[in-house]
Amino acid sequence: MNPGDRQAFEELAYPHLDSAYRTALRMTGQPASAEDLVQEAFLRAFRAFSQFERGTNFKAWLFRILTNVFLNDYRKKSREPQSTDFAEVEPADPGTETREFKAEEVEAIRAHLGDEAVKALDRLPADFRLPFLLSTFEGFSYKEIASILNVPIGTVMSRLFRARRLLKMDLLEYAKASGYLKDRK
Amino acid sequence: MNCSDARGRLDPYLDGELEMDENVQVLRHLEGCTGCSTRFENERLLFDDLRRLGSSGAAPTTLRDRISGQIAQARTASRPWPFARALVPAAAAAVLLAVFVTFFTAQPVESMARRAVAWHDGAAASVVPVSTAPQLVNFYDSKGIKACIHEERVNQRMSYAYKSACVDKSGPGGSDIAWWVAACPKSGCRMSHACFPVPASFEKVWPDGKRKTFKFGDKTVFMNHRNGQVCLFVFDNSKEADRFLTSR
Repeated sequence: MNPGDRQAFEELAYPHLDSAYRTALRMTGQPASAEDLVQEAFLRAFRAFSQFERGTNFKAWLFRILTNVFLNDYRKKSREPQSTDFAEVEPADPGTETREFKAEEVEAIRAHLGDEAVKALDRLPADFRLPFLLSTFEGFSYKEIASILNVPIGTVMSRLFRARRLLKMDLLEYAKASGYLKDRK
Repeated sequence: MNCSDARGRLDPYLDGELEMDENVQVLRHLEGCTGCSTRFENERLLFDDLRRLGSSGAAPTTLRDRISGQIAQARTASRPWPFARALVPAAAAAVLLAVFVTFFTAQPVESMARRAVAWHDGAAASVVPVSTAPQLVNFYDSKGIKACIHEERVNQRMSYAYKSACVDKSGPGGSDIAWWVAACPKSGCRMSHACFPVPASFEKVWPDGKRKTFKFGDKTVFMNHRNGQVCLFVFDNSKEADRFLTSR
């Protein structure tokens, strides 16, 4: 590595520091772990910088490393189950899911967004949480998420769909508990 | 497309991931279906809210210093290249080659911009406003452009009225591309707008996240490359173009 590489790396990488940290925080749920995770990911990215193909999407490349560090190092240490094959439990066609959310339910959820939404997100299993973070918060395309998580695009789509559904169910329960929406069942 | 077909595509629609023709079909369905359009709008608002929740918050200020320190150490730990001197002429040659390649392969981007102006001058010019509703300018397609989506919406931020998205084969490699024609009611200018997946020939010369602006006479072409997509805008009024560019 020469000084030019370091400068080039820092110019590309630091603009993504805040997003990387936010994502790491939602991955680990702990500020201290998030800092360690980002630090390790940036260091690994710097060491592997010569393998980065110039002109391609740097953020996607960096987040792939971040995700790998999380999945390989952090997740193993946490209490979370290491891997669940959600392909077996999720329906093949997202359209076959159960009933839809009513318009007033979605409105009730919106009226109660806040810290609870972040907690609900943290409760999602990592397999669902990660595609959600990458898509909704970081704006990656399905194709990029597939590459970052190293899974097929169909899996990204079904996990994303399930993530949003689980999140809405969780938030709807909260809205109901808060008494803003009468249980209409 | 029926309600169940449309609702099954809600997520990819909101994520901007539908293929062009499917997107057109969903738009058509939403136009005629109040139930679905309310639902789609509700979901869009919900995910906009969620997106805002997740897009704020900065990394601790000390984190950057920690990373910089580590990177500096990583650099000094690695050994200097012993043949660096011998590589200087080779590196110079590589730079020359890169400049050469960049110069010539940059052409597809400009030629796309020129094609966009040609489209704007031709087809868009035939789409003329015939009446002005309180919020919408109604367009009339005098040349009978086929496969137009009859969707009307107002871009709140820019106060443009859209009428036609006309699918034709002017995309990269003759692919289908949906053009939107918009009018800026105040200045009477027209804007053409299209988005398409980034062609392979662009990727090397135009990094993701970058914008390009071309001026051809009184026309301004603004091109944005983001997340593997290229979106381009042609303005025939430089004032409107400037207003648009400064709002981005």
